Amino acid sequence: MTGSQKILLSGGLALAILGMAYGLWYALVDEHPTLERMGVSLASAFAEVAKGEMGQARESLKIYGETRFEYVREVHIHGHLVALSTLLLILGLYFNQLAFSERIRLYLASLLLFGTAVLPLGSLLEIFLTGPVPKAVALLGAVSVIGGLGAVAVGFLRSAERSRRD
Amino acid sequence: MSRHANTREFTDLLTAADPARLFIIGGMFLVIAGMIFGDLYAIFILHPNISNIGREMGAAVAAAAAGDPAAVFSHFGAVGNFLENAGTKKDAHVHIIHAGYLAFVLAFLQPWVALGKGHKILLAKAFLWAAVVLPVAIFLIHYVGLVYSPLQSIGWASIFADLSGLVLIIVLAVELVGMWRYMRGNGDRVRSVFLLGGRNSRALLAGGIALVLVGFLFGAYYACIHLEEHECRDLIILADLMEQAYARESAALDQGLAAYGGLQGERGVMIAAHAHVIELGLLALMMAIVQPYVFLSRTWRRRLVWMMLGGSVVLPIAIYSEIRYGLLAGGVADFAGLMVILALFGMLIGVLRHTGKVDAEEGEES
Repeated sequence: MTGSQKILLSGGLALAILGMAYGLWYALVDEHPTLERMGVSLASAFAEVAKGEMGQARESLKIYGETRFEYVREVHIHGHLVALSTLLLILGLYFNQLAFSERIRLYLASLLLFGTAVLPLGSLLEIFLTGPVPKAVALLGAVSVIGGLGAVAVGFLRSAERSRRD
Repeated sequence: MSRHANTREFTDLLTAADPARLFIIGGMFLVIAGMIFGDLYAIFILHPNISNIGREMGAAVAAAAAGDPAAVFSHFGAVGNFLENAGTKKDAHVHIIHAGYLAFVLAFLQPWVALGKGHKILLAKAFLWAAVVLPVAIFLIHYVGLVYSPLQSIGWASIFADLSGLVLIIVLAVELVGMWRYMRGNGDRVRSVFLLGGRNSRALLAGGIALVLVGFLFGAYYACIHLEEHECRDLIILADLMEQAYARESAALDQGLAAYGGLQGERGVMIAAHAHVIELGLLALMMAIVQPYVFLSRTWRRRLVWMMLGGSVVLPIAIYSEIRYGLLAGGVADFAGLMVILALFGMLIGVLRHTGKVDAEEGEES
């Protein structure tokens, strides 16, 4: 096992555990109240329309929008963390066959691990912070993962070219 | 091992006593089961459910316009029920496939996990049992509800789903500890090189990376351009519906409901296309490693690889085309899904044949 494989495999497994633990915590603690709040606030908004209380209805719709925003991000965190860490694990299995020096492979593995950790962090920050910072964090994560994977594709192309020549 | 060109570097993980065999075969069964379930979900539940939700939503808005708050709550209760029905089935589909993917990965990690063979087999069995219980429990959440539940908001099905999730986490944590022990010099130093030199493996590798990259780029495009716009539009349409219900403008209500349904469809299709292209890319990447274990003729291996890649390309495109072509594109997506399932099933047969061959060779040697 090379150094870059160690980064991808141990980092990927650790992040997969983190993603699953987050999903478990969310299912146990937060999912049911969030879904309940979402459903009740939307139903209440229209029930208040039926009663002619438009001010209250708009307030309920606002609560619905905020809860839905939070719910979507929470599901994103769990889903993206597990899916991206699965990718790290798969790439880690044959990362030593990339046609780059081990030093470059180490940089690439670190970049992919960084992106995998930072992309869901951006979604998490969106729940607590407003403004451009959470989006910038998520974008940094996305660019790292996409750039890293693009470089991996180039590495495999070079590797395939070499084996064809040999 | 005469079929493998680079036998000097090939480590056969599918010997009878190896936990990797359990993980690979179990993982393939899980992914196939998850995909079949996904196809059935798309055909029999997803589309009828969308029309049920639309109908109840329309009735709820009409009840608001008629000044009947009790009926509003009743119709929104039905909407919630339909959403839970579809949501738990989608979750079951996603979780069974992801558990299968993790089983695959764990199979190939086994040479680097410094634990006793007995412990590794026990972990593999625990993982696969939990991977079966988790989606079954999620599926049952809608039907079991809170019957005999000791908790206020979580039913027995959810409790079993959470417990099986916990088992999966514990297994992964123990495997991580085993890997850490290996990195510190414990365990056998097995030279584990996965062969990717064959044309089939290379095709799956290239196709898999391309699919995952396209999926990531599409996801980034969706997140930058559509995610917040969809969320804003959702609230604007709902606010308009409330105003129209208050003013009892029934013609405008119909238009608003159609716009709301259209938005939900657009959002659902974009997210599904993004998720499916990545999932299928990951599957292709994993199948690239499995190729040396697919004991079939060269022609059949090639056919299965192209069938898998063809289905993997067509499926997300067809899902995305549902915005414009509706059920016709949905049918093409279901067919493409079937292509991937059949290809995977064919590869599973090849892997099972390989294990039979290994067992026969081991029997002869002993």
